[in-house]
Amino acid sequence: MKQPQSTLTSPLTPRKQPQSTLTSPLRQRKQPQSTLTSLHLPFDLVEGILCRLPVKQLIQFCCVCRSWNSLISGDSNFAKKHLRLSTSRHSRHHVIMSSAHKSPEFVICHSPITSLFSSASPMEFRLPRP
Amino acid sequence: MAEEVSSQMNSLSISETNPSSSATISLVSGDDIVFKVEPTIAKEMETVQSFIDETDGKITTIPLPNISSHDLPYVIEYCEKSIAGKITKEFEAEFVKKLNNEEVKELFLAANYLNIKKLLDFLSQVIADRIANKSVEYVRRYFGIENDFTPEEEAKLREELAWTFTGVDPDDEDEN
Repeated sequence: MKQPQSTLTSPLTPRKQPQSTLTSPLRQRKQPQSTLTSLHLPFDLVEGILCRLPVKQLIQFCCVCRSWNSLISGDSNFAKKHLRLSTSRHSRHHVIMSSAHKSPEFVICHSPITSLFSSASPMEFRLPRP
Repeated sequence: MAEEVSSQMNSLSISETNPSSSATISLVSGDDIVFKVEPTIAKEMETVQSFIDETDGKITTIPLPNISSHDLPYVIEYCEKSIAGKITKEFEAEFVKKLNNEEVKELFLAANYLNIKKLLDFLSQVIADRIANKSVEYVRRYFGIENDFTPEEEAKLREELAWTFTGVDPDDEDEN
């Protein structure tokens, strides 16, 4: 934030500006889009939201507009950020374990690594042996 | 409003002649309501803190023209909890339950303006959760985005991504 601060009264000056609506100063700040009435979010902030979406929804939102499409499908930095966030938040590194060799079926346990250190029960799939 | 301004001038001149690191900070919302907070709260708001630092702590009344008196208490509440180390999942769930979509966006912009990273991250996730199962059209309305694809381009893209279009919630009108 760069606000004037050299004089005693300067911090007050922004308040003297007429503020017709609450949203107008927010929208002035950083928003290139001009048409719509709802509160706009700057693109860099939108990026911070999108990288928190699950992959399927994220890919679907390629259809929203061109800039989202190129961000989601063509920006490797965004992809890295998405990966970093989704692995750190949901512990999506999974452990897969199968059962003893002679058991009549495979038991595949699918669980986050952290569950090994807690009592959480892993997701379990049982498959017949071929 | 005139009274508020003059009382604010008073506190301003007092703090000018008598700077003190422990003085409370007055945050003035865009609609001229003064919120007095502890300096520790101001520290959570990087924008405010850097303003205080740049004036060597002499000025303790900070105008926040971009933030309304409706939103500022939420921001202060979050910062208080943050300082107390009491940001729990339960607190966060209660915190957002009170907020409609438009309010979440306002607070999100406020957190950005004040540079409160924790609140910004948290609200990013809240917005992501709120749009996760929504339709493309809903998301355009939510973000105020104009569809700049040609109908042909959009149809082609939707066809390519058809597998992602399952399990979308019907649009509701709870945007406000």
